[in-house]
Amino acid sequence: MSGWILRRFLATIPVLLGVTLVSFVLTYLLPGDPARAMAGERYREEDLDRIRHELGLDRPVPEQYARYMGRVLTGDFGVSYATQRPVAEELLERFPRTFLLACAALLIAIAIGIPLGTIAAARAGGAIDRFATLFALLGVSLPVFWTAMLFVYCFAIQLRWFPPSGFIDTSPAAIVLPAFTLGLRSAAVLARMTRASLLETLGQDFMRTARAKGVSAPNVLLRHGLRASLVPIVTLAGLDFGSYLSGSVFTESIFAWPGVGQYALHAILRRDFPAIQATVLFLAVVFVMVNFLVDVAYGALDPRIRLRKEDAA
Amino acid sequence: MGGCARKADVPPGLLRLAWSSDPASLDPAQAVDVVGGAVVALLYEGLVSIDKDGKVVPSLAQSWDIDSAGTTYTFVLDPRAQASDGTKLGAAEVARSWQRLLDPKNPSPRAWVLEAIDGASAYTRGEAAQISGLSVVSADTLQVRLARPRASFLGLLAMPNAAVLAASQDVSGSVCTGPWVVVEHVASSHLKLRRNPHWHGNAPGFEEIQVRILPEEFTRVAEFEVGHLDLLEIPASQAKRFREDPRYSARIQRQVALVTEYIGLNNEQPVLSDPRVRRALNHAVHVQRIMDTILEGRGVRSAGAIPPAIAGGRETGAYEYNPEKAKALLAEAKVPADWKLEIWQRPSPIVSQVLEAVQADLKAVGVNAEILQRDWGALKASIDRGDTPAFYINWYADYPDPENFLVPLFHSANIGGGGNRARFHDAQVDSMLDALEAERDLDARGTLAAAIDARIHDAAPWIYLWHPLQEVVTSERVQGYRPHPVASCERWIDIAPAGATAR
Repeated sequence: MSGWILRRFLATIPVLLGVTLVSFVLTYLLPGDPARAMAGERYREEDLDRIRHELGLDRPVPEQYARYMGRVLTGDFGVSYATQRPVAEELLERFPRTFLLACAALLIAIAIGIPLGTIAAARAGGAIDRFATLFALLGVSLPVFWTAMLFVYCFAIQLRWFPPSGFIDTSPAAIVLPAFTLGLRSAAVLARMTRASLLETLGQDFMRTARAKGVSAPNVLLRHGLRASLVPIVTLAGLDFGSYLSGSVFTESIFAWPGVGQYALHAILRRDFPAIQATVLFLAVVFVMVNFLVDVAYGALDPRIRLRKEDAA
Repeated sequence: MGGCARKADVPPGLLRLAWSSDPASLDPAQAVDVVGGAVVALLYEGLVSIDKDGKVVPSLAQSWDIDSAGTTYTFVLDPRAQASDGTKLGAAEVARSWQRLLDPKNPSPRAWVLEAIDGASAYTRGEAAQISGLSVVSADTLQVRLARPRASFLGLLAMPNAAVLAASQDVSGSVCTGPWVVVEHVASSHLKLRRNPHWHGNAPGFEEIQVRILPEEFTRVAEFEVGHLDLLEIPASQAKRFREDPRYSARIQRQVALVTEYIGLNNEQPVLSDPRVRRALNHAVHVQRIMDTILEGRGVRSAGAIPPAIAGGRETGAYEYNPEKAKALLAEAKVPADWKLEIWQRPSPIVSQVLEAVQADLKAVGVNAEILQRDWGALKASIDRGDTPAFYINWYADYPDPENFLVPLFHSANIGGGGNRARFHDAQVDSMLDALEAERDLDARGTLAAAIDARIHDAAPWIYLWHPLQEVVTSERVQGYRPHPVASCERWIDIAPAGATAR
């Protein structure tokens, strides 16, 4: 098992190297120009040349990449063109906020999605099942910005239960609406996946055996059925969590949540190359790590996967 | 529940504002956009500032004297002036701050603000050890000599970039020279400011300001409606609702902004280089109808680049809507039948609606227009390189002077990033603009500016649109608010808590 984990871990290195190269090249392919973005609305052409020279943008792109990689390998992600602050510092300042929002959203998704899917599977064809299907359909098809606006209108402007926006430091209740906006969509998908996966499991031989042994119905459903159905559910929840951690640009913008998503958006709009490159790399690392943990979780959830992996090793 | 509790907790001395973006830096040398300028105006003192009537008024300088040649300015500074750390703020600090802006090792992209000073450019290029035109006469007297007369020089000095730093040259916001000092700055979230106890002016009405960074218009409106903000610039999409809502209608302040909205035409491109074509496009678009419908009446039709509130601004003479005349002009210019006009815009729902209406009007006179949307960075780079045939854009006054609308926008020396994005070139206009720079008599300046603007208008380098009308609604917590004509000069010193005695 540990050999497999090590190999799985080493396999992420070429992925991350590829990410640095692709993000670097893509940044240079972006139309626009960081020097013009820094110079503002009214500037002299000679100022542009000077700014480009100072930033090293007048050197050949391969040389710029080599220098960038040299710095990255020593842990230096550069200084933001816009704020003149170290990019790593800015990212680390924002990441805990995005992490908190992602955790809250994941909790909501799990707390609603899995029970709803489980009940829907247990009562397939019944009223709850139909409600779950409708909920899932709505959750998947409503765009995030629309859900966000709807929530703000209902729960902030009309009912005044929660602030319309803000950041947890200044008002703790501010996390509720963005977390629900993000979490409900995943809850909908999780409910569908749980239902489908559980229905498939419920029809299998070992479930009949469990029932024949006299295990109580809730026990059959939860201990035997749900656990065996968890692999696709964990995969899905893991992928969603990874995407929340990479910052939800819409949600963070509408709710003015100063996280990684907003940071990435501003970096792109300002053509802040060091900030874009560091954010992409950082998010790639986060995503790869979440996937890695999901892979490890498979083994814990399903001994068959663990055995197969060990065989392969 | 939550909302009500929060509302009751608000200290009466706290003014709550929202900006759509975070200032990237608090450094006057790096203030290159509206938000950057707005924050600098709060934190740092300039020699002069612009009042709400658009006039240049004393600030750090109590008075000044200009010699008969119009090149030597002698400023007498307020001897009481101090930075927030209690250190002296005098002529030496002004000189040091300006040297910093022009620093040859690290010049600001806004070094041009001070380029009128004799020797400033040589200093920035590293060719001189001192700025020859700048001399500290005494602790509170500063003499500035210009290379040639420049009537808009005081306006330039009111720009945030010319602001004065404390002796420590702190640009973090903790030591300030203006009415406010930064207490807390959480990037992309909020900025908290407190009165600077050492500021030499009258103490502001409020004790503290909290500026929240709310990128979305929708969020700003929601926060105002639940009572978390004291001021809201009403977006066009909400104008009607706010005007008709009795809770807000009496508290809306209006002013024609010192802004010009236009569709720039690249005067160097084939077909568009013909003034007849450009005039035809102006006659083809029914600007008034667009203003009445899409803008809900929030604008004044432009008859030139200069807004009517500034000397030289024209109120009449706008292009009339006349599709027949447009067709005739296009026929006269022998515009190829397959000609297509690309109009670029940045992402904005209201601009998209405007351009769709423009597209329909152009179609009616036989011009096929295609609308392309690009983010601001890509759009600006393409326009400044001269690659974009037509583009929706605007120009905000840096200071209320006709020069600020004419020289950057139309002088051939400023083609591209200097502001002349239409790439307009007219030698006669260039020399008239040079004369405007030298003319110091206010009335004569107004007449000359109006003549230049009319001449340019006739050449139609743009499709002229409007000067927008801003509407700002305040909460019941504040009194004495009046919008400032130049956003980057608003200092929030005359607004006060409701019920406070007028000072």
